Amino acid sequence: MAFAIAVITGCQGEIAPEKKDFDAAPRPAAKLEPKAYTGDTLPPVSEQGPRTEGGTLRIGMASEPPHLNPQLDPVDARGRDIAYYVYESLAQADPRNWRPEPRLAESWEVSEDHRTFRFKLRRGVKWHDGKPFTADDVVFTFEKLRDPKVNATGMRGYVEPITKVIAEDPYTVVFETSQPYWFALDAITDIYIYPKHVFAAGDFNTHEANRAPVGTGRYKIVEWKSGDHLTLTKNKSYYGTPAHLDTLEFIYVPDAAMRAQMVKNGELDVVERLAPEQWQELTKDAALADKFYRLRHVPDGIQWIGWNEAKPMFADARVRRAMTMLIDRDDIVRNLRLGLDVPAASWFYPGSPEHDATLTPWPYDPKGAAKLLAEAGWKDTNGNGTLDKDGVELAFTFLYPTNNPLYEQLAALITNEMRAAKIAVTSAKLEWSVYTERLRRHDFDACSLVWKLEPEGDPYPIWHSSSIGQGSNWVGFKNAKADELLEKARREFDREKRAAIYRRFSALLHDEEPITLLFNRYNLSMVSKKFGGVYSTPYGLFRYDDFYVVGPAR
Amino acid sequence: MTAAKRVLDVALTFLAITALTFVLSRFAPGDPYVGDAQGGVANDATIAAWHELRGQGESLPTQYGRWLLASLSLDFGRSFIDTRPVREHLVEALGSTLLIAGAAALLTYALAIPLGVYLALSRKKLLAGVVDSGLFVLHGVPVFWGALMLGLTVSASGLLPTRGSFILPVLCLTYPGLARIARYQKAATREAAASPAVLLARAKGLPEALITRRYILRAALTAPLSLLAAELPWLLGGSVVVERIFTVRGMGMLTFDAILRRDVPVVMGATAVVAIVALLSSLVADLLHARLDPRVRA
Repeated sequence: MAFAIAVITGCQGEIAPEKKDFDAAPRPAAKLEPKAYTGDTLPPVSEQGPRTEGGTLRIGMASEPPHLNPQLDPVDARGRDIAYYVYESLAQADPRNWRPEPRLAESWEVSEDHRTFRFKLRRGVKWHDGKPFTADDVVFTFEKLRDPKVNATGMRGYVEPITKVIAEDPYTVVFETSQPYWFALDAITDIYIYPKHVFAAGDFNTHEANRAPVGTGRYKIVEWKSGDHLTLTKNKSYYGTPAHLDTLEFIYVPDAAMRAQMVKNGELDVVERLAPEQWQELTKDAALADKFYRLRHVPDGIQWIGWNEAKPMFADARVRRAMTMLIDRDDIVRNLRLGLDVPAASWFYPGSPEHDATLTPWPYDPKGAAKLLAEAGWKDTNGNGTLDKDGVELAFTFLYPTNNPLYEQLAALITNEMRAAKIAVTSAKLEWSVYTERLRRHDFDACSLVWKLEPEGDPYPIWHSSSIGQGSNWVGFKNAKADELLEKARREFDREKRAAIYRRFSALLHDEEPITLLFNRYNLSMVSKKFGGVYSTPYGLFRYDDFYVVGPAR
Repeated sequence: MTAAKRVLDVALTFLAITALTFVLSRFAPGDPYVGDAQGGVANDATIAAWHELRGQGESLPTQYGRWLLASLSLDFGRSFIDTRPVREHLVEALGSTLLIAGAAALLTYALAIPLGVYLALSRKKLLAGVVDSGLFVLHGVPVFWGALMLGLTVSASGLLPTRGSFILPVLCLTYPGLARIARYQKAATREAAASPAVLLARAKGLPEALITRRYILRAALTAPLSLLAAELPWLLGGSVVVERIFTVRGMGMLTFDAILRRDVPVVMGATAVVAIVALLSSLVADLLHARLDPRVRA
């Protein structure tokens, strides 16, 4: 579940839910993560030695969240991740099968027409300040989210299909939606529930609880020193199994080299999303290898290059495929990603039922590309060294953002390759906010980004033709067959049947090649061996509330 | 120049700086809305709603006028991004920056002035030459590299924790100024030592210590003070590089992040504060200079 939010990952990033209580459960099955935990495998929890209650986990964070109200703009990945420990939603995704499992709701029923959802709430749940949790809090949360005066433009879209939220009694809430949609249950159960009694007084947008949230979760916030650190402490009166660690400390270290140094010094227990070079450098250190697990866990993003179909030259699928065949993806993975990522062929999460493993990436084949271009009518008729057609030269600009050196290297590779194929390519880099604005306005020839890989997501906001103006279909992909498949999938409630539709859709994407899929990006992390209960969701997030200190108390 | 005219000067310059910043930040390409993760679901309606919620619907002159009026009572509005009052951001950032910049400025002058005088007057040519060359090299070490190397070596040695210590950022802000001001002081002292007044004093047989104190130092010490006026705004503007490496939430990072995210209220607030500091410090430096150097008084 989890929203198809802003599936962009550039400076910020990723959003996700989760799973709790590791005790009874086997480790997340291999089903969702065929290649997960390669490199070094995680030791099974049972072999991680005796568990000690208490202790502190120090997590390095590269950016600081703007606030801890995950409903408000901007939708911030780190803020949502921290809020997960403090707030709870009606249900949380189980990382093994990605289905909602009860949290604040004990059970729920869905009507025959998939438009009415009745939730029975858990009794005896208390907010961190001791006040009881009731259906009023749920109704209040959704009212706020739908209120146009609330700064929630990023999240509001996900609750728009909800037409009614009613508290039938203090422990029953009913939702009605305008039309059947498979994602609706996920969207409802994934919203963090807020305490009405705290937010009722004051302005929701600027409320002090946005920095000092009062939740129902396994951790409470005790301190947030801006620009320095944020500390959570265990909620001892949690209704379920309490967390094991007493303290989670999120330490803000913006500089990557300093973060790495702090790992070496033993000043941090967890660092995530390391660059390939840095991960290799750190894992070479033998002394460090004794103390840390090095993890190359789940594929959490997909890097691509998009061809704007509003530009006449890219309106022809043959030209788009030729572009792909001019890009040596194996070389990119080997040299720019140090072999740690995997060339991609399907748009869906590797290992999920939607992922079509029979699709193979188009080969790197400059001769084949030249043939395709000739078929499409591009020839160098005027002998100036650049292909042309009807008096127009095959020339374009590759636009990329400044936030990652990878783009610079990509641009160099691509321009070299394309120039050899008689295509006049220039490249231009733009600052992030300017870059995304240009994409949104479809004002580019070719661009590159990372989409967040989701274990199960709805491709509609990115690929439906109606998303050209209203969503993230920036490359302007417009295909009647694709539209039909995407619409049909939205009303299919059986995952296997839906997956079959999405597999057909992804085969269609492969033929049409609106974007060139470069590689699936893997999350590279290091975690101190002092801790057990270490696992990651398919989103690549650790669940620190299941971590514990291994061995006798120190 | 009369006091009233000076004040008017400062006020007009302040208006010009803030108005220009306001216009520039509004016409810069890019939108604060898409600078963040909501970009994925952005459409014209949600973007319009986002701006409306932040009072962006009015004309530019109205917005600037409103900002100016409010800022007189130190109300700089709220950040677009996290909706906290800009004043809170500024107080936090200025706190760290004042501490570091203040310490760095004191250290710089406390070391640079005696060092410069020593280099100018020392008879131990070899030692002075070595120190002088050392300063020259130091002057050439870029801060982004120097700070990282200092941070990594000190952290690896375990002498200080990697973050949270003010010593390293202060050192990094001190050494470029130290080299610059010491060499400047040296030149000024040499110039003073070669002046006709000193020659005359020597001819009259005044003791060397008195000559140094009364004729050389008195004349030479005014020189680096005028540099202070240039140094202070630079220090208070904060150094993005140093702040990032040592995790200091100061004016540099605050301004830099705000510009990247098009967080106009924070950009405006930070600009106003640094502009005021720059204008006042140049005013103070002028006044000080006038006190120490009679030629300026007229």
